[in-house]
Formats: sequence, C-alpha cells, structure tokens
Amino acid sequence: MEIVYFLALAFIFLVKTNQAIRLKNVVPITKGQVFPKPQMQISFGTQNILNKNEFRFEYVKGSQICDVVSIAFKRYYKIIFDSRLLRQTNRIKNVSSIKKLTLMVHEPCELYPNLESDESYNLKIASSIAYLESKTLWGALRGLESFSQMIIESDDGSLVINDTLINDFPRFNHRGILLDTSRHYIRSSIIKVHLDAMEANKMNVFHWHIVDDESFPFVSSSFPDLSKKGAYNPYTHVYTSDDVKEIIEYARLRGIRVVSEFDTPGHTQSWGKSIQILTKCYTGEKPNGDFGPIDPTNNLTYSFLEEFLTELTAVFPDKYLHLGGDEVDFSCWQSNPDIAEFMKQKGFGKDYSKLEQFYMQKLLDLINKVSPKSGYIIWQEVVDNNVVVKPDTVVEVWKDPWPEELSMVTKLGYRALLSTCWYLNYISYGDDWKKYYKCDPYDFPGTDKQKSLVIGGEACMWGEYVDGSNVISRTWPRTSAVAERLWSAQNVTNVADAQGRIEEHRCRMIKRGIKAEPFNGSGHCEYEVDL
Amino acid sequence: MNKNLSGLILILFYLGVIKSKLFYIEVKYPLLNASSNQTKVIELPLWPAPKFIKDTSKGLLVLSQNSFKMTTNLPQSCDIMEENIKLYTNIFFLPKFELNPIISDTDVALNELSFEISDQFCPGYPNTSIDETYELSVKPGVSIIKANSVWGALRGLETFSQLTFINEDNKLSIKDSIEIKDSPRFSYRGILLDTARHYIPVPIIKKQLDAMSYNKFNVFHWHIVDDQSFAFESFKYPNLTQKGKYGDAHVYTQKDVKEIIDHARLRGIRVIPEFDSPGHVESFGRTFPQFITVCWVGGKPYQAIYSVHGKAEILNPTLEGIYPVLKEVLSEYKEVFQDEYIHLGMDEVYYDCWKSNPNISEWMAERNMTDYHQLEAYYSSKILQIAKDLNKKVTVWQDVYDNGVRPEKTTQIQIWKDEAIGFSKWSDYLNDITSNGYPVILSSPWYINFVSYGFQEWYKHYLVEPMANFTGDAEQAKLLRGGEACLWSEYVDGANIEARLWPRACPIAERLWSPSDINDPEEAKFRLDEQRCRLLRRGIPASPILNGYCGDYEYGMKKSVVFEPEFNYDWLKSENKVPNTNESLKLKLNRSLFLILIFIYHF
Repeated sequence: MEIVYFLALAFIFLVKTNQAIRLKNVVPITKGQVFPKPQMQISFGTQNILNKNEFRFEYVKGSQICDVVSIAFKRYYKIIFDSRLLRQTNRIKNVSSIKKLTLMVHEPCELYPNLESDESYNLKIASSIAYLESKTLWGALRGLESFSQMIIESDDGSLVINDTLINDFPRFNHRGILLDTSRHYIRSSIIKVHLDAMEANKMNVFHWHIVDDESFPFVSSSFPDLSKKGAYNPYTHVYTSDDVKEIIEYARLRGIRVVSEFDTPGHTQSWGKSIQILTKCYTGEKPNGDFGPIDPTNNLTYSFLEEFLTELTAVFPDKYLHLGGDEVDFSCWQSNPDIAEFMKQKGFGKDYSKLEQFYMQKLLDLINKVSPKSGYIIWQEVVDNNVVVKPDTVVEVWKDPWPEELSMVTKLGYRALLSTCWYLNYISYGDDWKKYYKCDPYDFPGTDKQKSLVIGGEACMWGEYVDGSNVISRTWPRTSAVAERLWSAQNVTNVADAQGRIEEHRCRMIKRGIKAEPFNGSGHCEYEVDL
Repeated sequence: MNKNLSGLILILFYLGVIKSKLFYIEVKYPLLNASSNQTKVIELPLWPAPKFIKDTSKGLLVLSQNSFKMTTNLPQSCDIMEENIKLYTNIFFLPKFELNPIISDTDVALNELSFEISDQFCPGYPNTSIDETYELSVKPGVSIIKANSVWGALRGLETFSQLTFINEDNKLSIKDSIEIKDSPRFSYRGILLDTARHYIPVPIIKKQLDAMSYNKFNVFHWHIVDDQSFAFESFKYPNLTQKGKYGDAHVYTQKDVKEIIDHARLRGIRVIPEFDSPGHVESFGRTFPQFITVCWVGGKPYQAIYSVHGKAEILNPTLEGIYPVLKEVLSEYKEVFQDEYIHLGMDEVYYDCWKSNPNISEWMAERNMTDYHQLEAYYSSKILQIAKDLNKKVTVWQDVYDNGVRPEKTTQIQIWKDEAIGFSKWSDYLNDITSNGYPVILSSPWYINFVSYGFQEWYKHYLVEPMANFTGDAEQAKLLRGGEACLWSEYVDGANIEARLWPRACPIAERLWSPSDINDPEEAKFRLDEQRCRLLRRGIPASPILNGYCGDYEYGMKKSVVFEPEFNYDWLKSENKVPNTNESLKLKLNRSLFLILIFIYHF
C-alpha cells in the first residue's frame, strides 16, 4: 500500500504545483483570510484538521449561555461543513485535529444589539485547541464568523485551519447599509439573504428605507389604509407585521440592528393617498391637484403622527428611528396661500426653512412625548436648515462636499454617520469598489473630539434600478469594501492587499448562496453560482 | 367587451404597472383606440415591434389548456416545431400560473393556432440565409401563422405569445382581431457572451438562449476562449483544456457544446464560436509556449513589459510550426460547431513585442518586409487559408482590415472601434469597409458590458441608427448584415449575467429587428418595461428599468418562476463537473494496484 500513498502524494504534489501557476491577467486570490481584516492577527504555519463527525461548538464552564449564540453554533456548523460542497477525505498522518471550539461569553445575554454593543473578541487556535472569548454575545458572533472564514479546503478535500491568534474589535460601532423597498419592493426572502451577507461582512445596521413617494409597503395596524392605498399591490407587495417581526428576528440572530426610516415631510406622496396630510399645491389661485410635502400647518398632521409614531416605536425595537428630513421641496409650500398665511402669523417671512424647522421640531417633540427613550437619526438637511435637535441625535451626511459637512455637524456636537461616498446605487464600469475602499470617514478637518463623534457610516442602495432580480448582486461584494473601511483599523488601506482578500470573500459569499457579482476583473471561484 | 376596458385590462393585468401621477416616470401606455397624433405609437405590447399591425379587435378570446392546441401543415414530424409547441405551452399555461381553464358561455374561445409553413421542410441548423418572415392572424376559432420557413413560424409564435395576457378572470386571453406582417430589418442579430474572462455555467447559457429567442435574436457569438482561460474541451490537444481551464468544474465538454448548439438550433439561433489569435492567446500558450513571441528588452529575451507588450500573449507568425497546430485546433472546432461561420478574432495585435524580437526582424528582412502590418497580413493570410481549406467562412474583428489586410470578400468584418474609445467614428469604418465590398457586423455602439447609472442608459443603445451617416448606395447598404450586443465578462459571471444582460440587450434587439422609424424611447420605455416583466414571467431575472412593479411573480416572491424546472436546465451528468480529481485518482490507483496484484498473483 505504501506505493499507493507515494503515488497519491506525488500526485497531490503535482496538482499543487499545477495550481501554483498564477494565472496571468487574473486577480490573485487569498485562502483563509478573514474579511474584514482583524485588528490584530498572528498566523502560524501549523495546520489543524476539522472533521465533520467529531467537531462541535461548546460553551466554557462559567460562560453565559445565550440563545442567539446557540443558534449561531448550528448556523456556522452548517456553513463550515456544507455537505453539498464538501469532499470529506481523511488526512494521511501527522496532522493535529481540532475537535471543538470552546466559547467564553462574559457579560449577560442581551435581547437586541444596540449602538453601544461591544463586538470585540479574542480567538486562539493553537495546539489542537480553538478558544473564543468575548465580552458580549455580539462579540461571540463576530468571532464565529472569523473562525468560519479561516477554515479552508485543502487540496485533498479536508478542512483545515492554521494556528492563529486574533484580537479583534470594530473601528466604528455603526456599520450600516440602506436598502430602499419603496422604489421597488424587495421580498423578505431576499432581505434575509442580504442579512446573511451583512453577517458575513460584520455589518451591524440594516437601515430600512421602507417607504417613500413611490410606495408604502409597511402594513400599519393603526392606519391600514396607508399600505392598502399606498403599496404597489396591497396584497402582494407589502410587509405585514409578521414579515417585519421575522426580519427583525432574523437580524437579531445575526447581531444586526434594524433601523427603520419613515422619511418626512418630503418623500411622502404614497402616504397622501390615504391620509390627508399633504400640502395642496396651487397654480395661481387654485389647487392644481398636485400634492407637496406634509402640510406642517395642519393639525391632523400631528395627531396622525403621534399615533403612528407610537406604533412604530412599538414595532421596531431599536432605540433609533430614522426620521428622514431630506430633500424638502419648498415650491409647493410656496404656492399654497394657507401656508403663506401661517408663515405670516408665525413671523417666518419668506424663509421656508423656518417652516421646515417648525415641522421637524414638532415631530421631534412628538417622539420625545410618545417614547422618551427613543433616539433618532436624521439626514443632514435638518441640521443644515438650523433645526435644533436633541444632543444625542445622529446626523447622516449624504451630500458633497462631505468633509466640510462632517466638520460642521461634529462641531455642533452631534454624532455623525457618513454615506456620501458610499452611494452604491450609482454604478459605473469596472472595479469601482476601490473608490469606496479609499473613502475614510476621518478625512475631514476637525479635532480628535470631533472625529470621535463620527460613529460610522452606511452604504446606500437606493431602489430606482434594483429589485429582487439584481439587488444582491449589485450590493455585494461592493459593500464589502465599505465593511472593511468601517470595521478594520484606519491604516488598513492598501488596495492591492485588499484585492485578493476581497476576491476570496466574494467566492466565500457565492459558496454561501449569496450571488455576489465579480468586480475585480477576470477570474473564477472554485464553486460558481449554479442552479 | 368594451374596447377601452380591454385596453385597461391589458395595462392592469399584464403590464402590471400602476398608472399613477406619482412616478417620476409616468406610465402612460396608450389605450386601445385612444386618439393620438403620433404616427409611430405601437399599440400592442410587443418587443421587438413588428413591421405592420392592424388591430380591429372588439373583444377578447380565451385560451384554455384543455382545448388550445398548436398544429402544423408539415407532412413529417419536425423536432423544432414539436419542441417549440412544448416550450410555448409552458409559457402559456405553466401550472404555477394557476390559470382558470374554464371557457364559459360568455367567453369566445381560441382553440387552435395553425402554422402554415410554405416550404414544408424541417431544417437542420439555422444559417445566414434563413427566412424569418411571418404573418400572424388572430381571430376566433383558429388563428394562423403563415411563414415561408419553420424559422419564420418560430418568430411568429413568439409574437403571438406576447399578445396573450391573463385577464381579470384569471384566464389566458388575447385580443380577437389582429393582423401582423413582420420580417427582420437585419438578418444578423447577435449577442456575444465571453466565457473566458469568467466561466458561465451551461444551464445559465441555455437560459440566455431562451431569453434571446424571446427577443428574436438569432446569433450567439461564443467568445469561448481568451487569454484568461481555455474552457473548450479539446480532444486533439487535451492540454489546452487541462492547462487552460480555471478549475476542474470550469470546462465546456464537447457534449456541453453540442447541447448548447442543439438548444440554440431549436430556438432559431446560430452558434458562432470564436478562436481569437494571434493575440489573446495566453491560455493557448500555456500548452504551446514555444509559439508565443518572446519580447526582448535591452538585448535580452523574455522581458515582456506589460504596459508595452501586453503579457506573453501574442503568437510569433514566423514560426512555421504554429500553422499545423492551428489547423488541428480549427478542424476540431469544425467538427463540433455546426455553423458555416467561424470567428477568428484577430483583434488587438500589439506590434511592440514583435518589434522587439530580433529573430522576427531577421525573418522579415529576409522576405523584404518593412512593415509589421505585413507580418500581420502574413499571419492572417495563413490562418484564413486554413479556414478556407476547412471550408469555413470567417468573421474577423476589424483590426485585420484596419491593418491593411484584404481577405476574401466573403469574410465578414466586425466593427468594434469607435471615437468614444479613441478611434474614428464607427460610421466611418462602416462606410469604408462596405465601400470595399466586405459584409459587416456592427457592435461598436453596443458594448453592453459598460454600465452606467440611470434610466436613460439604454436610450443610447436604442437610439443608434446604423445607417445614420451611411454614404454608400443601396447595394453597399446591403453589406451591413446586422449587429451584435457584446457582453464582455470581466465583471460578469453566473451571479449577475442575467440581470446585466436583460433587459439591456432588448433595445438592441428592437433596433436590429424593427423598422428604423420605431425609435422613440419615450414610447418604447413602457413596452420595454413590459418586456422586462414578461422575461420575469418566463423565469429570466431581468432587472428593473422604471420605478414600479411587475406583479406577484417578481424575483424572490412566492409566485416567481425563476426557479421553476420548466424554465431551468440541468448540468449534463458528466464526470468532470465534480471537482474531485484526487478521489477519482485514488480510486483508479487502487484499481490499478488491484489489477497489478492479480497480475502478479497469476504468475
């Protein structure tokens, strides 16, 4: 039998050298690199084998035991030992094996992740032992993700992991991605794939731009007409309360916050189909049949909002609600004589930003009234128009030039999110991820204190040209570039180094059933998208 | 039924886009018989628009899967018709649509679609001279498609299928009196897919062929190999595949290729393979490194500078040993691919590497060649002669012509250069090349691998008028055989090809099929949006072009048919698709050891 092994070994060697021929014109691809890059990592040459039949996840004695983590054990077991793809062969000899990953979670289990959640973890793979330690359960999830990414298929088909020490934590706490389900509806099943991809990229905020001018797919229990009249189709193109709950739960299990956005006073055409709160636009003396933003002078507006906000704060468990406030078009307000009269009474003169300020102030007062613990995120215009908001408000910057804006917002003492340079709905030819990768939220003039007010950023996938058919492939892996910027250390900026890792990461996503598109030029993944 | 009402039903139940003031892009699909000053409004939701439509409908006809049948006048059975009758039965009555099959007393039924094919002939493979003309007459009882050939019948059937929609009673319906006369403006309407930069799995290629037929494309230009990979399975030179493929799973076996060709044939689509040389041959050179030009720098060989020479990727035409090998490769292509044409590439030949090589200089000096065009011409004439010996007609990229080579007049020249990428206007090339008597395929304005943001992206593809700056006479105009949408795949693979290709190739389909005066994108956008929804209805996950929605069958939704078995294809059960070389080797070794032991035992 020795000769068989000799021949087999010789063959393996041949295959190896054959594979080592680097295909020219093709992007190099790493093997077993964690993405986004951990803050600190030391790897050794020693390999350990993992065997499907004997491997298990375990809590260390004294660890907190959290359902989210226990469920994650099962999920990652499946990801690692994907039976569809796996070729199980037994290693020949002299390879140590890892029979379990033991986990220590220190702090008591929380129900939902929040902005302040600690996601740090330590991971140690050495001498046949895998040990993961984290403060919180959320850190444990991040550690499990890293662990799963380091396991690679060796040439003989067995799964191996190198001895490694990792100490890791995110650079920013808010690492989000916006999906817009109003311009086009995106079914929950696709949103879940998206949440899987977020987990694989250690992103932790799903900013759900759930309604807008075009449609209102959110089914409200207090105002069911909103979706009945405002959805594309009130039966098929809606998110029922069950759908919403399911998505929030799916996200929670992956340590992802769901921050919903109900944008007002602009972007509300679909609301107006059922609730008479929009401004009537005038041509000359007469209403012309068009409607503008929400009418801030109408009392109905505020009684409606109070009830609706009460519902929203109950449905969405996250502390933060995104209140929008962007792109308010003043022309309709300007045309309306009742509003002109109101402006006169209030002494606003011709300054319609004062009217906007009046509305936003009322809105924020309402939130404080119905849910004093809530925080809110707003688009930058609210602050640009001098509305005074609570000091713990988060301002999302989306306009250029963003460095000046971040400078201004943080000078005012507000916390800020950056999304200007990460509007991923804008597509262009080629490897455009590099420009997302190069954008750093600290690249603005300001003091250290100002910089510390930047809590992260968001990649935005506005929905004009995406729906279920292409949203996954267009969002991923381009968002991965943003994910690394927001997680990894500030000095992780080498595009050439990132290229091979991000290429591997795309193939990893493909392997997990996420149809991430090629974005690095020619190449291939071992397991391609199949049917 | 009231005429306006049936028009409304068309919008609500088939178009599936809400008519509303809300949208940035307002939906204003013309109602049936709506008064309009426009002369070019296409009142029926057809894509690509036919040449002539007369719609005198007063009501609707109902099609039921229990009674509707398709018949032909062909004396013998014809697999093409039989297969298409099956395919379109799925398109009409897919079980998942849960259509109402009842024809009630108030319904008028359409029970038969009859094909009257005048040549009464079941053809082999489609070719350059196929006749796709047809006439469609929809009326109660029996509707008729008249065509000269089976190919025309297929195009007519596609048009017929696009007229059907699901009415408010959940029945498949069609307006009751429509006459259509139709034929393509150009005979060559192609799509280039590049499976070398990224591998596209066979089942996904088949789906693209389906989508092509829904848009009346008739050529699949298969850019099957390039620098990056050689995925075609060669029996003559197995190393070409062995060393050229990306991975074990990234191969088109000859069986795969034959399946794809058959799949295309049944849809009236030609498959033209490309073997690109003398450039773009890096993957070829992994097996034949001796034929690759050695670039010299500073008096030393093997010094290729990427920005100047490209990589080691251009053949050395002075090495006579190349030509017998090329002949073998091309004759293998000939055995597998059925089309009368083969594409020989010959684009992007960079002279710098040739110039740097002293052996080539010497060789040229011996033959009094002073210009590297002459060297390229030498190579071209050699390989064109090989193709001629093999009895194959040839398409080449325009570079050959630009470099002064004048091949035989049957050679089709494909134009890909344009001022947008630093060359002359494509119309200048078109004028020049046709004035010299060469047939031309236009693809410069249709490189749809380049993406940009916004709803007008496709306008630029749609608004191309191939004859806009044409200076030649009518005879010369005939030399423009058509065009090709090129989806180079640096940024495309199985993950996104469908969303990238569809509906972005559709505008080009209409430009190549429909009369030139159908060219108003503001009119076309609603038909195009509907075509996109129709593709979704047939399992092709095409991307959105306007705000809005199609229906409850969108991708990811319960009624989506994207993963329905009727609209999907399996891999062939061929062994090399399973990436387990080591295991099978071990098995073989064990087996051979066993045999050896038996052998020893017997002695």
